[in-house]
Order: sequence, then structure tokens, then C-alpha cells
Amino acid sequence: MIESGQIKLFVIIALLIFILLVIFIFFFIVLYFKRQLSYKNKIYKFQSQFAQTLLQSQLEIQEQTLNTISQEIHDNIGQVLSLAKLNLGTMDLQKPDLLQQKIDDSKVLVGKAIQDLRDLSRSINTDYVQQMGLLRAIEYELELLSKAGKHKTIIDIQGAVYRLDNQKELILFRIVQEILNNVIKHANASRITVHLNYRPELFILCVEDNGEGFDISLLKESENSKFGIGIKNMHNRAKLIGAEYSINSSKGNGTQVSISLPMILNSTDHANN
Amino acid sequence: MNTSLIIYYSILFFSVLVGVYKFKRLLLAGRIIFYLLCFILVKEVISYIIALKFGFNIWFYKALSPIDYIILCCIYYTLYKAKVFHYYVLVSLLVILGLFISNLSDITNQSIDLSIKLLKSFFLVSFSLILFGRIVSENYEIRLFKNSSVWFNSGILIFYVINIFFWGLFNLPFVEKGELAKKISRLVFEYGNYIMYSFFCISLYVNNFILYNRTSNSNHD
Repeated sequence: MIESGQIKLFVIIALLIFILLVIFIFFFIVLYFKRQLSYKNKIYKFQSQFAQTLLQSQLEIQEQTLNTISQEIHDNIGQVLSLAKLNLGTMDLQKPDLLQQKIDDSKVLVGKAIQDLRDLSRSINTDYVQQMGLLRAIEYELELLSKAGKHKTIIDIQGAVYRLDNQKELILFRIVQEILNNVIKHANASRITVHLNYRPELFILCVEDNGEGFDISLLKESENSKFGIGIKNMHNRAKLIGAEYSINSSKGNGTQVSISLPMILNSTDHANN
Repeated sequence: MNTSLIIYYSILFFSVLVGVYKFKRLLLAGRIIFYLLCFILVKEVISYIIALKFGFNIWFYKALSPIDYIILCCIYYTLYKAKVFHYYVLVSLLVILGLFISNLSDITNQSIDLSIKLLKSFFLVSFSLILFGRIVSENYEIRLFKNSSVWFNSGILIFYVINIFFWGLFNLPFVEKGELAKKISRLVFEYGNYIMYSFFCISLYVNNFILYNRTSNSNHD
């Protein structure tokens, strides 16, 4: 009788231990799945946020491109064509010596308008930028600038040149265009230098000018102004491709904008084998 | 040879076969589990032969008892990379080895080293709980049942909790006297063995050992 009571106790203890183990494992599995679910939700939210930012950036780029086209047509091509029209309109058939001169001038002006249109088309064409690659696209942009005669441009390349993926190259190129636009509009610079440093683990792009520069502290104060928003946009675009954007400037010492993009190396370090 | 022994040897043998098949792709922790399974299989076969020849084999088990603990410590050492945990594993190893050396004179004695058995089980259950705590706090992109560390850790937890129960109660007077209680506890112990080695086999088959760090995200194969 005593033994059967003790065996009962023994079985109860065994059962208790078994139940505790089952509860522990069940609790562990439920907890893990719960956390896994919230982690997946977080990832999903992050991805949709990223897609939204990407879309927003693309729209901004598109809008900026349209502005550039409009400005370019109005300021350059429109002016040149108006001049050509004026030339043609003031032709006097009675003065044949002046007539030839006006025809020649008009030819030059129309030729310039065609060239400007071609440059503009190349500069905004996404496929063209992707075909040429970032380096060639920047070189071309600098060539155009130096052709205008107002700025001396220098390009400095360090390391063995490699291609980045198309999306990254395009975004970097648009940032460079924006920086160059800012230099032309606000810096009053005579020299623009673009440094491209192709390191195996890091790609660094730096645009430097010898213009007036500005007080960097104003940037924080004017976050909501157009000036601040432009820089914030560039910062966001750099962030979008995983790059670091930094700006350095002071009054009278020009401006230096630098973007560093870490390169993803092929990971072979699987665990600690 | 009785049925339970045949099942036990079959599970061990099959696990070793899975280990051989997966060996090239196994991470260090997986390879150590494979070595452990090989060691256990060889140990069990030899102990069976010894039991057949001499009628008893407890001294053989006693002599080899620190080796499987050392191997298990190595596995936990590689699975969870945290300084404090590593110190804990090393201290537990020293304690077990110290106890083993101090009991070395009793090796031919037919009684079981209950203190070493219980202490080993206690340490291994605590390792397992610590690792479970770590698993539940990170790396949610991997499906739970595709994580070899979870299978290995579950096997250890189940077996050594049973071990504590088995060795803790087996020598109590009422169990000593009661044949039924003895049978129940043996049965529980046997099933514990089946579960643990089957789980080890699954962990080798899944072959996705997640290595945990104290703070950063884990690595995996």
C-alpha cells in the first residue's frame, strides 16, 4: 500500500516535469512566432516606407528635370531662336551685302540652338546617362560647363574605375547636376573640381568650388527655405542609395560637397567555420 | 539485445550517417555534434561488448563521462559567443573535471556518481535555457524549425531535465524498492535518449546552425 502511494507520487512528479517541459517549449514557440510576426511587420513597414521615399525622390527628380528643361528652353534655346527670328525678320532684300551676313548669322544661331537642344537631351536622358556611365556623364556635364566659358572645370580620378548599379549611378548623377546648378546659380565661382575616388570598399564623390561659400550654420536655420530644402533633397537621395552626404563651406572659402557610398563586398564570412 | 537497445543504436547509427552525408557543409558546431554522435555510438557499442563479457560496464561509463561533457561544452561555446557565457561554460567544465578527478579512486566502484550526473545535467539545462533566451531575442528572419541550434538545444533540455528527474529520484529508497517505479523511470530515461539523439539528427539534417553573439545580429550558414 505504501509503495503504491509512493509510486503515485513518483508518477505525479514525472508528469509535472513533463508538463512543465511542454509548457516551456510551447511558450518558447509562441513567443518566438509572436516576435517573428512583429519583426516581419516592421520589415514590411520599412520596405513600404522605402518604396514611398524612392517614389517621392523619383517624382522630385522628374519635376526638377522638367524645371531644368523649361529654364534651358527659356534662357538659351528660346533666346537664340528669337535672335534668329529677329535676324530673319529684319532682312532687307534691297541690301544684298547685309542679307548674306544675316543669313550666315541666322545659320550660326539655329546651329547653336540645335546643339543646345542636343546637349539638353543628353543631359536629361536617363538611358544615355546609364549607357555612358557616371564618370562619362559627369565629364560631359563639366565639358558643357567649361564650353560656356564662365567656369574652369577639373576632374580628378583616383583608383581603378568601376561601374555602380544603374539606379545608384543615376541618382548620383542627378545629385551632381543639382550641385553644379547650385554652384552656377549661387557660388559665383570660377573653378569647379570634381574628385572621384574609386576605393574597393568605398566610392567617394566630391564637388568643390572656389566661390563665395556660405555660413553652414545658416543651413540649419533655413531648413524650410528653398535653399535648405534643396540640400535636404540631395541628402535624402544620397540616403536612399545608402550613401553619406556631407557639406562643408565657409564664407569666402568655397564649398565642398562630398558623397561616400560604401561598396557591398561579396561576403564569404559565413559564420565562424 | 532487447528492442529498446536496437532502437537506441539505430537512432545513433542513422544520426551518424546523416552527419557523414552532411559533413562537408556542416559548420564547426555541427561537426562537433557529429563527433559527439560518433563518440557516443562507439562508446555504447564497446560498453555493450564489455557488459556481455564481464557482466558490468559502469566503470567504463564513469571513465568516459567527462568526455561527452567536454564535447557538449565545446558545442555551446561555439553556438553562443558571449564572454560571460564562455566563462560560465569554462567554470562548469572545471567543476565537473575537478569532481571527476577527486572521484577517480572510486572508478571501479559499481555505484553511480550521482553528484557528477546531477551537476552535469544542471549545467547543461542552464546552458540550454540561456541559449533559448538568446534565440528568442533575435534573428526572426529564420524559421524556428529550420534552426539547427533550436533542435540541438531542445534535445539537450528535454534529455537533461529527464536526467535530473531520473538520477534525482532513482536512488530514493521508495524507488529502490519499487520495481514499477524503476521500470517507469527507466522508460522515461530511454525515451529521453531517443528524443535527444533524434533531435541531434534533425539538427544535422537541417544544417542551419545559427551562431549567436551577445549583442549583434547572429550569423548563419
